[in-house]
Amino acid sequence: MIATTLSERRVRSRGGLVGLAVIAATGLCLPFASAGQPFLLMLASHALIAAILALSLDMLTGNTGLLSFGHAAWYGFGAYVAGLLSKSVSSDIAVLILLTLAATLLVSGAVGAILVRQVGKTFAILTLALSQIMFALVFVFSDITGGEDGLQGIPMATFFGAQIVSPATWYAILLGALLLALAGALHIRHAPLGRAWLAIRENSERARFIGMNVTLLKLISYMISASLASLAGLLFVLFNGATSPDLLHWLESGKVLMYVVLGGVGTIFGPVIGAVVFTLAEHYVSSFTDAWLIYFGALFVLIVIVAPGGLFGGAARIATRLSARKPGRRAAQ
Amino acid sequence: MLALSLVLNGIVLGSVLLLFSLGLTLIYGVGRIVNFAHGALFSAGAMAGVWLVASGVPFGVALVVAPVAVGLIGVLIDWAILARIRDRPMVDSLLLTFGLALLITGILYELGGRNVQIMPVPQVLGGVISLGGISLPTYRVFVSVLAIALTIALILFLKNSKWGLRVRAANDDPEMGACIGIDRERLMHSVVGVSAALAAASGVAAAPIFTAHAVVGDKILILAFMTVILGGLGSLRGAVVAAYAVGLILVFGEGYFGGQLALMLLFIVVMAMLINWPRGFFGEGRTE
Amino acid sequence: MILEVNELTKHFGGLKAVNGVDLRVEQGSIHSIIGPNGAGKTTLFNLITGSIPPMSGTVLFDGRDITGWPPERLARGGVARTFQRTSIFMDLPVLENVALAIRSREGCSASLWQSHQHEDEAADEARGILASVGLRGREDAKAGMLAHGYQRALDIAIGLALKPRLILMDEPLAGMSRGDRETIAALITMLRETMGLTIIVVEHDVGMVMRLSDRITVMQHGTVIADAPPDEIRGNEAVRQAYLHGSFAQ
Repeated sequence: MIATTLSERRVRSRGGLVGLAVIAATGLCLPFASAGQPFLLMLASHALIAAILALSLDMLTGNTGLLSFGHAAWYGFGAYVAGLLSKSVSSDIAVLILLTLAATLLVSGAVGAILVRQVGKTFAILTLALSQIMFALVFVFSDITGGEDGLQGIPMATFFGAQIVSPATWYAILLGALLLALAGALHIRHAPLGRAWLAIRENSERARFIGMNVTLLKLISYMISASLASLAGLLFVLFNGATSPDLLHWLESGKVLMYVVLGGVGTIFGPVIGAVVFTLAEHYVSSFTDAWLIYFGALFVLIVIVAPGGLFGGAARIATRLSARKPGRRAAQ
Repeated sequence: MLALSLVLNGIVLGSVLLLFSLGLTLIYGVGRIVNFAHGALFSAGAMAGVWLVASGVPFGVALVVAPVAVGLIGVLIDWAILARIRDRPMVDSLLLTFGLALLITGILYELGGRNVQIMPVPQVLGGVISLGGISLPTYRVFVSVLAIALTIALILFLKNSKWGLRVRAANDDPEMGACIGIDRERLMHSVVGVSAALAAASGVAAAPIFTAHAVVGDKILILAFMTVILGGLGSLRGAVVAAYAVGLILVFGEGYFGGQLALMLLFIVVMAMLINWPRGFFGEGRTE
Repeated sequence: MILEVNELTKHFGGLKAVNGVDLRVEQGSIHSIIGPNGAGKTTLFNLITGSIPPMSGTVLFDGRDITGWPPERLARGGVARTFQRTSIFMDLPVLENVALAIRSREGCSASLWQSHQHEDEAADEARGILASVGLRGREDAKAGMLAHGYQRALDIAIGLALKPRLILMDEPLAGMSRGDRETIAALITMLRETMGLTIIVVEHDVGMVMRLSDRITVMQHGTVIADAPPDEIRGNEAVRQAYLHGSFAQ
């Protein structure tokens, strides 16, 4: 009996490890493939940031079912806080991460405590409103945030005194951050916390009646999600050297949602792949037409109608169904 | 004096907001859909109005033609797109209208919405009305009267017409509505059409004040969302009271703290409200 | 007395759903609450289990005032419940359904890490509970794939995993086949006999209630009209009247 549990767990984590290995290998090969094409490495770096951002939203929506329509709020929050801190306090990336995360946890904890008590639709509306408020705040404090022009002149990030200069180093940092975040998400998924989240997502009333503090568990999910999004914002602003209010716009929130919906809510790897595919597609589409928002919107509508589980989510479902037909799996019942 | 002037401007904003929020409340009440694309329809109305006036159509005619056109687009959207997900979980409808907002905004950008377009105030409505030392542009008075008149007309129509009866039945209980023989598809087409027309009407009417461009509806959508949460999702009288509350909070906030901070003030008020009254002013908001 | 309800009242608008109800439940008994539709049974149930707050009155559990406690606090305090419309985690394996409740009881729902040893202990405990409600061998099935009767048993198993001293069951026999009803009734009796649990049952199936219960409380129009052992209830004139005038299933 015990053997079953352990082997099952090994199988489950093996699937995750394989995914991690594939992403790590692909990621490590790219710099060689892109030798002599610095632009490609740049694009890949942006795709990695998008992937972290997508994963951050999946940490909320995929785990607790809460759908945020204003996730860019935390992305932009991280970018502006880190950008302002690096101009005023320190350019050391470790210090910036600590301070930015502390600020994010504080603010997202306060806002989230009210937000997560709301049910579906009210939550959705308030998340959108929150991102618009953050957007507006950039203009309120335009003398320090640069307002419309964005936050410029961010000093080059350092790590214990050494400047992080080369695009390759940045690429490695971003890839490392994504792999770490993925490993963390996979770990939590199988830990008691992640399993409690799935229970809440499925039947939050029953979860309450078995003594779970549903509000607290949702809040934890919200804060982790906000922190990871904020980290993506921090990486973006340090990598990019500047940021603009566009980062907080609802179009940006729409993109993040698209990554997750495209990849399949709750699949962890799906949103990451969705982000990479979408970032590349956006780049190539917008290079031959400036009407890409029309294509983006139409694709969004189409996916919700045709494949609500996401393109990759749909593929994963089919895979699960096929493997469930294998005889060995049913023997246990 | 300043306070009184702010009150008057708050009522103007509240009236536009009311007209706009009614469409949001209507579509929510019957279809249980939170329409994220409502703001984009406002922008569409404003841009259509400006284009009509610029092509020589009198303002009064544009005020009718633009909403009718956008209303028809609304019917088309419901028939072609929203109808595909009628029985899906709530999340899908949220995602779908969000996608629609992106799509419509994208189209408006390509139709010249990247630039701010000015709608001239019609000559008859130019000038200023002065009352005991306070002056208010005549056009703002006109917009408020128009919005209030349209609101009353809609409420009367809901109370007295056959269509209104069906809307109210579906609003109380969508399944019950189906039981008493309501053709849900046709009802939803008409509701989405009316709702889109209301958004466009407020867009045209407000264009001389707010101007017109592809995302002019963004801010009013957020204000309307705050309105329906304060009033309780799906509550008509809640929306009426909340629209004016939001209008006043915003105008006073702008008067004393400056434009963008007012939005933040409003958000804090809404959040504080939700702690104690999660179902709105009249406690009749839905919480599914 | 493990549960004492005093003067509990809840009105919805003009409707006096529960009006000054007193209830005494003895430790280790099976205590049923019956009554015609609209008698206030479900409201009383929801008041005790923390789903809705009462307007006035008190609920004492083991001498402690638990009036108005939210469900999660009650669950951790030794009061479990089951649902009329079976409420389980349909997409999760049967074993995980129970293991979730065990981890919640141990206060480690929010843990980021769990030792293999601890996980195996919890799994063993869950298997034991599942076996006791007749679900041995179905641990790995998805809960949603179980037959209706087994789902009801799983609902009870989830409640048992909380190690409650009192378990409230909301119409545990509703919508079940005759065979399933017998099985669940036998299970309820067994829980009392072998675990010494106190069980409160709100039920429509009067025949089964008569056989099952140590004591029966009969409600009508939001008040208690009788409270006695089954034999006395059978001969009670007020109860007979209530049944004649109310629309009653049996």
